[in-house]
Amino acid sequence: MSRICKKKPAVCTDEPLSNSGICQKIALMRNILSTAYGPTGRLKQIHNNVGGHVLTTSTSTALLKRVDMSEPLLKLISTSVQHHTARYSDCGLFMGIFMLRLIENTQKYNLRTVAAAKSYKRLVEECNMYLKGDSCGCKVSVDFSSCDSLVALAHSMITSKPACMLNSRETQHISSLIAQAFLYSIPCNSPGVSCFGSTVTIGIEGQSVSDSSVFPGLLVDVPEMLQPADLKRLGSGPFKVVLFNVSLSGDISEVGDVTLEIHTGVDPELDHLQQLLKLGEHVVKDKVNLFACQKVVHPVLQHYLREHGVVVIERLGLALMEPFIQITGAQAVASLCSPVPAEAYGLVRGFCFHSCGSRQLLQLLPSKDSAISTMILCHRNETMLEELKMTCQRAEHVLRLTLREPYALLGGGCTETLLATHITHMNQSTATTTAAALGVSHSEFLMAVEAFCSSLHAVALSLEHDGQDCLIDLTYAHRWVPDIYSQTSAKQTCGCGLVEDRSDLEKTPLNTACHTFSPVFLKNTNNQPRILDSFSAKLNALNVAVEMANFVLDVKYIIKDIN
Amino acid sequence: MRISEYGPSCKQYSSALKMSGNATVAQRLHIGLQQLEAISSSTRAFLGPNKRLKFIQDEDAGDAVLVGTCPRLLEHMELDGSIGQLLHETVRAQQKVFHSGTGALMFLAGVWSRVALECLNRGISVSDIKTAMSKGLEVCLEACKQSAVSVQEVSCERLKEHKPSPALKSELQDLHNLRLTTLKHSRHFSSHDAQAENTKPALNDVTGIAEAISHGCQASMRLVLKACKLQSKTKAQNRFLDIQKLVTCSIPGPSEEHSHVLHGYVTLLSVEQASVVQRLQGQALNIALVNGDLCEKYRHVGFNRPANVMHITDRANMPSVSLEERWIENALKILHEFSIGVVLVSGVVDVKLKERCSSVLVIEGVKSTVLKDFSTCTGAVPVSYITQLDRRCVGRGVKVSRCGENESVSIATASTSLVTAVITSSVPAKLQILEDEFWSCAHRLHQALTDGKLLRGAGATELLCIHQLQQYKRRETENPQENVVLELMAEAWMDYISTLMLNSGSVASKAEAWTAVAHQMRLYKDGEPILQAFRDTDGVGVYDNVTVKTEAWRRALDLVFLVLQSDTEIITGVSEGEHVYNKLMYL
Repeated sequence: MSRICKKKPAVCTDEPLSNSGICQKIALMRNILSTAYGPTGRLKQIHNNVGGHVLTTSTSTALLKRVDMSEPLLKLISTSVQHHTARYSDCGLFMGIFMLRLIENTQKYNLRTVAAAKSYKRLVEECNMYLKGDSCGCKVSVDFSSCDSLVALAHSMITSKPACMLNSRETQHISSLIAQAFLYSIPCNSPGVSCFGSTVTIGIEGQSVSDSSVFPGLLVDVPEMLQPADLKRLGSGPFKVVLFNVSLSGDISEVGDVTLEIHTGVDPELDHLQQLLKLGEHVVKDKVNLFACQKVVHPVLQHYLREHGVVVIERLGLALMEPFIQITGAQAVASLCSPVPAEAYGLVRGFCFHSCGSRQLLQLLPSKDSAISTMILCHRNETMLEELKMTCQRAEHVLRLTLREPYALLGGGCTETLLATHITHMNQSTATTTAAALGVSHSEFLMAVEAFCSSLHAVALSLEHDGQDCLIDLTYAHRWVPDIYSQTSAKQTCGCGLVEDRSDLEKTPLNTACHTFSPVFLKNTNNQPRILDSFSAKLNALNVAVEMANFVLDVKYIIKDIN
Repeated sequence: MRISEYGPSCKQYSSALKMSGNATVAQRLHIGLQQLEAISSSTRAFLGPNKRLKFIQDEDAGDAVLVGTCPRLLEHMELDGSIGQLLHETVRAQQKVFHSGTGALMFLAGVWSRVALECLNRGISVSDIKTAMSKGLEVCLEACKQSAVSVQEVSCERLKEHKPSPALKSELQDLHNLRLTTLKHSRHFSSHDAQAENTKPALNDVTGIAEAISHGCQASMRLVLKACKLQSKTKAQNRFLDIQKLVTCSIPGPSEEHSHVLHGYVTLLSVEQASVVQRLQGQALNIALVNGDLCEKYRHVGFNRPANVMHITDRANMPSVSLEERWIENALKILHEFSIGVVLVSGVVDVKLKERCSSVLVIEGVKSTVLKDFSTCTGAVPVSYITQLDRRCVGRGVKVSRCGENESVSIATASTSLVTAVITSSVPAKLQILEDEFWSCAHRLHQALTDGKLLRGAGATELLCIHQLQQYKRRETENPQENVVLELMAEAWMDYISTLMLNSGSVASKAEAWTAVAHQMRLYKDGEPILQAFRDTDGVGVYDNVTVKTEAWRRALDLVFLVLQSDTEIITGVSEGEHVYNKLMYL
């Protein structure tokens, strides 16, 4: 018996940002993101309280994907950060912290929305100009003739995720593996349009991190019935390959959700199997050595193929289809009714057995130059392995972004302090004219500059979680952390490692009153920055953050249908 | 000075929790570390050779289970928090690989959580705690590496100082000729091995090693040794003890002394099957292996049945035999055609088919490793459907025989090194514990032979760790906080050793244990070698596995670090207004 309920009217929230409940949630979200930021960031344990898997992470992508928000505004913010990380793989936390701080600061200074939006837009343009310009002090170019800066970029990304739980030796090993995988993914000597290859990641739990490695080609789990002797019998390659992307399990599920009328005495399963065996016969006649399928292969067909010396790999999965196609040059066959066309066959150069811990893997060597490699990542437990896998995939993506814009930004909070100092300094003298041009009052513009810069500072401050002070030097505007144990042996450096400490370098706590000065461009230094951030990712994060903040500030009503 | 500066940051943990509409966040007063300590304190009685069993009662269902190990305990506990689950995950991972060392893992996770909590209370920052504790573990691991003794030495030492107990004497004689031939080639002892071989030919047997790592489970270890002996009779294998070729079969009823080891695959029989075995005994039989269920309805994994099927007919007289009936007829015909005597099935078997098999022994629920072994030994190819069976899939040369008066059967081929340990107990509740004990012993022995090295057990290695930590503390450090952490870690080891001594009954109280340990440490400083905190019941040394121990330590510290660095627990799928959880904030 159904019941008819009276439709409830929609609920409208007026001026959402003046609602204390919503503000509290925004502050809470900002707190979650900023406590997770940086190499000493605190981890978050996410679970559903009914015995589901516990995810331990400090990565924005994983965090925001799992956490559902109740407020539409928060959902909006969360989605924008997720979109950014999907495209750029880095600076998600930076974007979230900066955006939320900008919203909060605007509220705090009680700025008019329109004035704030205009000023922020102007300021972010100045940031873009500075960062893209030649006189930018927080940018270094990536040198492709050596892998140092690539490794440094990867290294910074791994150290910023403490849930990976690596010691310094392991971090070094993994960083160089990432750089190696990146280099494998660049095609060489291919005429015409060349496209990136890809890196397949396999995680193995329980092994030491130092067992991790990168292999050219594709590694798949060894098929259950395959013995090393079977491969020996095959002789030397290259081997002919056929690949199916339809299920060869012999079922008739593809007819969909309809009622089937089957005549008694007719056995569709048997007929289907006959069809599969005919396909098997055809493939054997064509002298195929490797029979691969994305989905399940009927055991009878498998048995038939094995008896004829064909290696069968089933349940390859959608993720491995593209790499498999690239490696073999085969075309995925989507039908089992017609014979396989000759051009659909591919080739592999050979097979190779590998074993790592409890896993037995079969390496497929590419027949031609293909930029596919497989990274095997090992870690002691599942939680840490999960974070490591994600971080490595993201780091490799960040390395790829450097090909488009061959720059990196100084890490360790130095870019934020430098940028804030630059913006403050720039707008000191020109505030009146800029304000007039934007059509806002002078004081409003100055407040907007302050809100903007202190939001940048807030990001730099978020790097510290153990209650230590953050300092900024008044010459280069880099970020510093006071050294409490005063080691005399090693010279202290700034957050990114570019500037060395000296006695006449004046420093002041970061969160106190703004000092206006033009940061000195550091030249002729022997130091290399230790910590680098992705240029493309941070630039985009900065722009999207400002745009989203303006958008959120502009929301006047939230209308919810509660039926 | 320091403390006041770190004060505010400590408060950060204790500040309230933050929450969400559908997601709930809980920032803890390092509740995480406290929880970890609390859960692991429940397993203190599992440390050492004299394990005190626990009853876990399910109030709702009204039944109770007897547990004697950490993984079994965690399995039966309702752990809904994230900490409990992380701990369970860690313990499960250790158990999966080593079948041993989980007691130490849980104990250390607990005491090291306390160390971390204490450090936080003293105002040491999280990153400093992390650095110092990893350094501490490194020092301890280095101590392990240096104090490890080769299995050869252990075996020699034991034979020199100890007359074997009568129970073990027979095994010793049997194993007289059983040397560690594989280990001779190991690079660890290639230098002095040849010499030892010449002078004391009988010393290099595994009995001594097995005894040294039996950890209070002498009876189970004896079974493992018997299994070892049986396996070595078939020369096919190149390893000394092949864990992969080991199966257990639990039989309730007979007393524990009746536990024994048999060649081949042993399993319990139903009454009807017993008569089949009677008929088949003594013949060389053909075998078929079935992957999956043996019934008409079964389809392989990945086969999706169409949802709506209607069978229609245009004839009025339906055939009288059902589909199942026809399938059974067919299956029996095939079995008869290839004169199959034994069918091993990994899934379940159709009841009607089982009833009608008067001349074929059909065994269900066979593990895939067993199927694989029979496949390699007999040449049989596992099939998914019985209709698939052809001449090339049939294996040959299998023999079945009834074992004793129990309703069990042994299925074996001449060449297999598959061995079954038949574990019996008149108390059915103990069967699981005995089986766990057997596997733990088997893995310890296997690991010892793989490692080629052992650590002094019964607290000796941990005593050395205390000593090394104190030594390390003496040198100049740039970080004064580090010494505090290392001192606390040394105290955690003290707790470990004293609990071990208390559980083993060698001391009456913790205070007494601490005195004994302090005495040992003084002696050690005066140049005497470190003795084991207590000795085995018959007065000989106890040893531990190197890899098992070091891995357990590493995993325990990893877990503590994960929890230490976490500040928020986010619970998803909770809607606002549900006040079931205290102090929750909604996002």
